[in-house]
Amino acid sequence: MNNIRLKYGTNAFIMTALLLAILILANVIVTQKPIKWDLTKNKQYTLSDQTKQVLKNLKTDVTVYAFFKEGTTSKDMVKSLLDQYRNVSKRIIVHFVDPDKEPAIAQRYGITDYDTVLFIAGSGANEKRQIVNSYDIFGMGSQPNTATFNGEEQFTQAIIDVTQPKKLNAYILQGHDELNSIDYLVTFKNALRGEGYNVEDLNIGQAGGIPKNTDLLVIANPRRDFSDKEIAALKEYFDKGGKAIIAMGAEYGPLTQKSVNELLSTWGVKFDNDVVVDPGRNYFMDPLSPVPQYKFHTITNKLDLSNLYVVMPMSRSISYPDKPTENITIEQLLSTSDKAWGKTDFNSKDANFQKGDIKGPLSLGLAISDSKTGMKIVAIGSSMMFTDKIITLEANRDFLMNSANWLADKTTQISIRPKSLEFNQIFLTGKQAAILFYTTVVTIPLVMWIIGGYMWYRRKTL
Amino acid sequence: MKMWEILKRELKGYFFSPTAYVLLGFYLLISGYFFSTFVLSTHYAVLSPILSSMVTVFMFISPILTMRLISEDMKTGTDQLLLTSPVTVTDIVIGKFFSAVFVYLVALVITFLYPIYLKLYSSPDMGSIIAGYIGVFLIGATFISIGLFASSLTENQMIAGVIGFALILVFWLISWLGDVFSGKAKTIFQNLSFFDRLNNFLNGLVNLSDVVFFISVIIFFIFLTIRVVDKRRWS
Repeated sequence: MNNIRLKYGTNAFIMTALLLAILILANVIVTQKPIKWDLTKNKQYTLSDQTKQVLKNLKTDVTVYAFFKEGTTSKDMVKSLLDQYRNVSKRIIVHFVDPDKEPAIAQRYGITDYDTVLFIAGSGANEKRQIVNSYDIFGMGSQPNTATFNGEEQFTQAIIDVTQPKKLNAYILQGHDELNSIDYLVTFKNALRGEGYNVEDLNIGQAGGIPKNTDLLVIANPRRDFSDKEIAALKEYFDKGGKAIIAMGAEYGPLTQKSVNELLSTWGVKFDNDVVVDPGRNYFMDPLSPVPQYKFHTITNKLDLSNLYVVMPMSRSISYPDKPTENITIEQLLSTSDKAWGKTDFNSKDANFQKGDIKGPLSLGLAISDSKTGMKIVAIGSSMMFTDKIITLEANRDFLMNSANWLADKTTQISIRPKSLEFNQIFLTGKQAAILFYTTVVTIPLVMWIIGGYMWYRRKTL
Repeated sequence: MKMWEILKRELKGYFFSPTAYVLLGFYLLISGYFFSTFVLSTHYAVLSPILSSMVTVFMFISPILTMRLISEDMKTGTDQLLLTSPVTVTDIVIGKFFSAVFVYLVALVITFLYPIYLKLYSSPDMGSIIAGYIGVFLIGATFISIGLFASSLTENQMIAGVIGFALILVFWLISWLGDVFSGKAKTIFQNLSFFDRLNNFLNGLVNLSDVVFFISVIIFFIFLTIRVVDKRRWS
């Protein structure tokens, strides 16, 4: 008897183990090559052909760090999208990081916001990074209170950017008591690297001119005169289509003689010798920290739509001609409120509007471009907003990075239709609502129970 | 062919007695309540939150639906009759499984009224509703296979129900283990989680791997049930 039991028992055990092995194997096989049917109306889970093409042509690994809080809808959406990328190409490596739990990783890459996705390709000197912000991922829908999901367009563009062999070079000008790039511009430099730039300091004299590979020049509040040779080098750079961000704050008083104004005079643009006071729009009741209004431009559009503002302590106003010369376009980016004025007397103890002050609204940011040479300059009336402490306020960094990207012509090269996130709504009249409620909650269960009761009664009386 | 006889016999057991109707009525009451309050309060023409709640409700109901399937036969001794008849154990178990699945299917078909209402007054994403129903059906059938297995373990219906519910609960909570562990272990637990997989369906995505997973679990528990019932033959 025991022998039979043992025999049957062993047989049963072996068969169960065998079946389990077969089932596990079947599951492993189907997960190898994902087959799926996307039944959603707007094909939420299907990548566009453009993305698939980009992914199939990848020659290098792309590491993705996604900085998201646990359990948010935005994380779920981004994760589901990145999973699809991973399914197409093994070269995409995804790490989800909760910045609260692992602040070190966020710090290493200078990430300060949730819902940010960082793409990295290459290593060492050839490393390229690209940051995609939450306002790039989620856009405004066509109707109020609806949103669109632009993740695919942004991520695919980021992958193209980091895997392109050419790297952009940004130089921060030094030698004239500019903002010291080691003590004050660490966050700014990191942010530029995040946008795929190689960032170095530049002393024009020592370098014997402006390097040929320069893609972006940053001039942040020089306090000493440029030499004639330097001015000549800079002028030549702009004549050949150079790109620059020029920032002049008012924290150190009047401008020097041979300042950037000599360069900008070519286009009639001038940093005024003033400090901007704006009682109308400012940061924490400090009229010396204006919070300017955006003017319509590629650099400011998305920030405006997302209600993200910039803070510009100790600003100078910028004046420019109404009708610039041919080929030249001058667009205003930032403007103070009507109530603002520019104080021209730096020694005055009286902050009120006085005779000789410049009446607002004042311009605090300009985009200057030359269609003939390709020259592009973003002039900003504040240098403090570049410094480590101030750059993290509100959308300062985003504004500066958008400016850098506009200068580098890094506008989106691909176009993938954003996926709409709007739910269809249902509106019922009172009567319809009542019918819906009574049929689903009362009638149907009641019918079931009546039949049940009948069955019970029949059985009892049978 | 023998399986059909068992199926018919079990369905008669369900539908000529109050059991199925009481359970169906209860299931439809709660589902209907979720549906109407969700639609009337949010005005969204989506079904996935309701389908998700329906699964939760069925998690509680399925052990009651399945608990008597095999344990009753054991208690009344009909199992000896069945086992000595020309029907195989496999026929019996599969027939009983499909009878419970049929009852569940009836419940689901009645809830088709919800998407019909949505379609009548709005334009919902029917594709994701269909995918959601596929997932809800598969996970329900999986619960039934687990409950059937529990029913074969004891001749006490109540105990069978409790064991069934406990087993389903384990699979529900197993995804939490994924948060505790990291690396390979995490992936394994996440892959075993019923509800991560259900979410794919509810979001409108039908993965072949998810379908295969649920069918594998069903096959596994039916097989175990057959083994347990079969064991009685030689012990």
